Amino acid sequence: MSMKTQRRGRLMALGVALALGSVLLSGCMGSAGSATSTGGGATTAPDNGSATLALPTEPANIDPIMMRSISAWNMYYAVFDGLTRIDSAGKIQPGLATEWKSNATQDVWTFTIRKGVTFQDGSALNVSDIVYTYNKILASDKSTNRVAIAMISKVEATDDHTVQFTLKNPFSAWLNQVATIGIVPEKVYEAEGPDKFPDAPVGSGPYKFVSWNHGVDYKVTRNDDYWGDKAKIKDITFSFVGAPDARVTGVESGTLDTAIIPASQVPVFTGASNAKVVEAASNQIAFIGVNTTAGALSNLKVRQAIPLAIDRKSIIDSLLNGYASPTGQPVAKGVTGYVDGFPTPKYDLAAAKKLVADSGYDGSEITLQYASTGGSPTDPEVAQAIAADLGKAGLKIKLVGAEQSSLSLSLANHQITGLYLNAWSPSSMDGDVVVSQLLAGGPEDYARSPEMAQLYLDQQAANADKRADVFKKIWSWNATNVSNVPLWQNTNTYAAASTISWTPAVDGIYRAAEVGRSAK
Amino acid sequence: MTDTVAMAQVGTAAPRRRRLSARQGRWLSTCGGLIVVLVILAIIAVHLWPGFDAFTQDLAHARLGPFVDPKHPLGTDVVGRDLLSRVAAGGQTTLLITAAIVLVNFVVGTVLGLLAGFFGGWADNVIALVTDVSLALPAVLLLIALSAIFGPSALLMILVLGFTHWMSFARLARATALSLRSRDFVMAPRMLGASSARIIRTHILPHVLPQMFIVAVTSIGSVILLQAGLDYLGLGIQPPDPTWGGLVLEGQKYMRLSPWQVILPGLAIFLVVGGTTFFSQRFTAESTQPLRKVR
Amino acid sequence: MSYVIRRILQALVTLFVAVTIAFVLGRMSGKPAALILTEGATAQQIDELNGKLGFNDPILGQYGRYLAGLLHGDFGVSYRNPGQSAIGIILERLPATTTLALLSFAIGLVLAVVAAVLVHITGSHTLRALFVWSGALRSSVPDFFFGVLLVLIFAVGLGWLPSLGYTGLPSFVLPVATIATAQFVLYVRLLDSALSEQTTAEYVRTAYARGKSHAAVVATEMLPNAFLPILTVAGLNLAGLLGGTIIVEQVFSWPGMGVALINAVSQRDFAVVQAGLLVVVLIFVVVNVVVDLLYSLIDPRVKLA
Repeated sequence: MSMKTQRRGRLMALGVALALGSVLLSGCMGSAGSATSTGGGATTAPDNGSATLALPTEPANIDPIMMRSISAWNMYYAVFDGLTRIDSAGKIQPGLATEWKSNATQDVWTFTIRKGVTFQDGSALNVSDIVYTYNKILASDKSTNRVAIAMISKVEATDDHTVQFTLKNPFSAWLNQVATIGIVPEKVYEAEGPDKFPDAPVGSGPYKFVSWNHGVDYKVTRNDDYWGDKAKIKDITFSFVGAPDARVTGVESGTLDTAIIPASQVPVFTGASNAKVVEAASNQIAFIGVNTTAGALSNLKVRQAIPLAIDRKSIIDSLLNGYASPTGQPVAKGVTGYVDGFPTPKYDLAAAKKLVADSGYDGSEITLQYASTGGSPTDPEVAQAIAADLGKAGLKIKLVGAEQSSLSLSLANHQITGLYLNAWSPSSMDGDVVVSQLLAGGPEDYARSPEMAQLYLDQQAANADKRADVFKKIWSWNATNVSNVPLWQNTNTYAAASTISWTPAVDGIYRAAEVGRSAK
Repeated sequence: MTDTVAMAQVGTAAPRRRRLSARQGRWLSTCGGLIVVLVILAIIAVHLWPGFDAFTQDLAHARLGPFVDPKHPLGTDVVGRDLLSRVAAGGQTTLLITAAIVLVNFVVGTVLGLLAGFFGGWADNVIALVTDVSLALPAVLLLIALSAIFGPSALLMILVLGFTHWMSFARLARATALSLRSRDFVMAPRMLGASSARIIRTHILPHVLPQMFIVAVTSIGSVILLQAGLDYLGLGIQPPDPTWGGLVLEGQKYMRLSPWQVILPGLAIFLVVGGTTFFSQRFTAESTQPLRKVR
Repeated sequence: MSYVIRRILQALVTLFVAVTIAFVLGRMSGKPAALILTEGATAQQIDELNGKLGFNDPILGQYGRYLAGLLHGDFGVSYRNPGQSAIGIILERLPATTTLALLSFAIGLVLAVVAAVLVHITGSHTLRALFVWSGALRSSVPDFFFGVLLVLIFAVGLGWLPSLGYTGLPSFVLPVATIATAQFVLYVRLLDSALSEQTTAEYVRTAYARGKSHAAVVATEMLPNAFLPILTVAGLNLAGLLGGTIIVEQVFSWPGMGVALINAVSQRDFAVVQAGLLVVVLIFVVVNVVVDLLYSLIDPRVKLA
């Protein structure tokens, strides 16, 4: 063969090798990707099947000591137990504790712990593990749970089956709070540390950890030695699907078994044969937060115009397909602090215009921050509709969109420059955290009113009956001073495979053990 | 199968085919240019139409289809804004930003390319290095990171894309400058002591500019696509101001229920990109050799 | 030899510049303690943590330490998840992106070769027109739009394929198809043109004269030579692909580097953003150097001195 042909031959071989190499290489890597069982189709007995539940966000970390987030609770409620449990309706149920009591001033709480509970590695759950869990959180600088239990002055095991909490101040919602803290085995957590534990967690809950494929899914399998009701479905996969459309098409095509979908997409499932829409009251309130010190917003009349200028009903009907109900208080029905019959501001454009005119508003721009991605899928449209409404009343609004995490950061760092659109679902099902965060000294409170600070303390110290009155005073103060504009209470809309039987929880968090399959 | 027989086959069978495909090519190219001009004229016309309003919302008449309401010839979006107006306004924004990006590319690329080609030596090496680095930097990532720090804006997009896509301009400018610098009409003034700046301006630039325009036209399509993609990721101009990519993002959520909201801006992108691509094919040095038939 | 050295030096400088840009970006985004600590942390606590992490030191000192760390393979620890190394988070997502990129590249290229060769073997102008037309159509549609259309037709409409990525082989089809079609369009035009240029070459006529069949000439004589100029483009393209599938990843919820980087940026986790930028540039530079060196080895016309 000539030199030229030889070289050309080599080149050909190289080209083919490159192409083949690429395919082979990608094939090898491809097999590293996990295959999820989709759970569709016939299963012999529903109990031994599997299901894929979609989550809109993946938590940055899944460690019950270090991380507190709505997304992570889906996994925590499967793998771990708290002293109490919040059920799907938002009511407190026994968890690791069988009974509890508090003293008259509600600052000392005593829990009687269930006997015979074991962790998923076979070791026994002792009161020392409970004390360890709480102390570990308090000792960890970087734990986001710390703030939630910062009022603990002392936690101790008074005997082998009793744990006692002494709080720095009265706190009526303590039962709700402890439900959100999952108990970890001291021996395992000390050995693994926060670096390794999230990828090899051990708890005492109805499901055992199987795998966490970062960015893709989190798999668990039934714990047959669970002390309570055994989980209905054997294998559960929590699938992280950020894009709402992907969740919709996921359920349609059978890849996902349940997914929360935007209310605007519900009509997609009318007439669908393999999927259905499940709606459930949610504990989520959408609201407009206000920086009462920023520019034109420091003028009370300008602020008072806002709740009157927003046409809640139109927005709900056309953008949310009716899946929400207007409200005037920042907690939902079912959350402690909800006041029956508290008035919702009426849509009154004329009154709003007059307020703006009378206020001496100088036409300066007011920013409205919202989550363009990563938050509620309808936020961009809702923000635009609200901006237009406020514009009709004479206010000049500038829309500022950002990714949800960016917005959350600005909120946490007290850096809002005007108005913002956000929503809140208190997983503790109690209005205490809503008041502290939004109205009384928390990062989203810009008014810093001493009157409100006092009302907040009153609420914390009050016992059950009196609390309702204090909450009513708090919402009334807000209605006059407009530190926050509650918009509506959302209804969560889910798409689910027709064979799935399940009642969504009010807080939007899966109780995986209660998801089941019916025959058809 | 001898050489002469093969040549004869090529000689007799091909000519008619060759002429046809060349004419076809020119026809397509003109069509492409025409489409782009029509789209631009349409955008201008819609802006002059009395019903033009890209911002007023009307929740009661949201998601109307096209040809249903004479006030909204192409329907309305999810908050009741007129789609025809929004697509036209979005077109104006998108095309203006594209023009700005191409302009920055043009200027930066031409200057750098001329300097590298004309002066050679270390200037050439330095600019080659700058080119390498610019090629390696992922513009999209840079824009995302910078948007997170400074907030998304049209200016940021123009600057980032302007300074990361000038390489094709530079390459051609450099090659031209390189080939021209040793020609007589350039060497003469040099020997007479004319300044480099003057030489470049009066003797080299006139030759380079026409080619730069061609590169500019050829790059319009890809700049629009890139920009639409970035608008789709939520960078650049923010709502409620419309851009074609942003409109696709807004409309995608409602694609199943009111598909026209996403199809219209997508179609607009398609027409302009396709039109400029076909139009610029006239200038790209592609071989139109006849194909050999199997016997 | 000096070409090789020059090329490698070039690559190193590029990397150095990218590293510096990543550092500057990271520092521009602010000091991380406010993100790591929870709400309610005092300004003093925040300052203390920043000091502990080294963010209160003079900027040159930080830069020096940063560079030294890189040389040891230490890319820092994620601001958001202090338990995970920044580079670890990126590398975890790397296989998903590289699989998508490599598979699409290979399929697009191979199909383009087959198509271009077919056009020249059959001599069919219709076939060529078909590829040119469909190519122009595909390249005028933005990738994200094309991906969404595919999902609508094949996942939702026909129900043949899953709409989400990385859950087994069928889920690869739509994302790969989106990118591979764009690759195909790119290479088929280049190859067709390159093959055309070869038609009038001396050695082609010689091959016919020696009695080789038309098909054999195209496939074994012209193709290898046509491939040469494609190599550089392919190299640049592949390198860019490996770092740039971000939009398609968004459409299909593909758990790749692009999505991880977007999340990192919006969470202000600039340790991860830095690591990601570096990985992307590194891949780009390495692939290009390899391609250039290969090219110079194969093509005798490229001077090595």
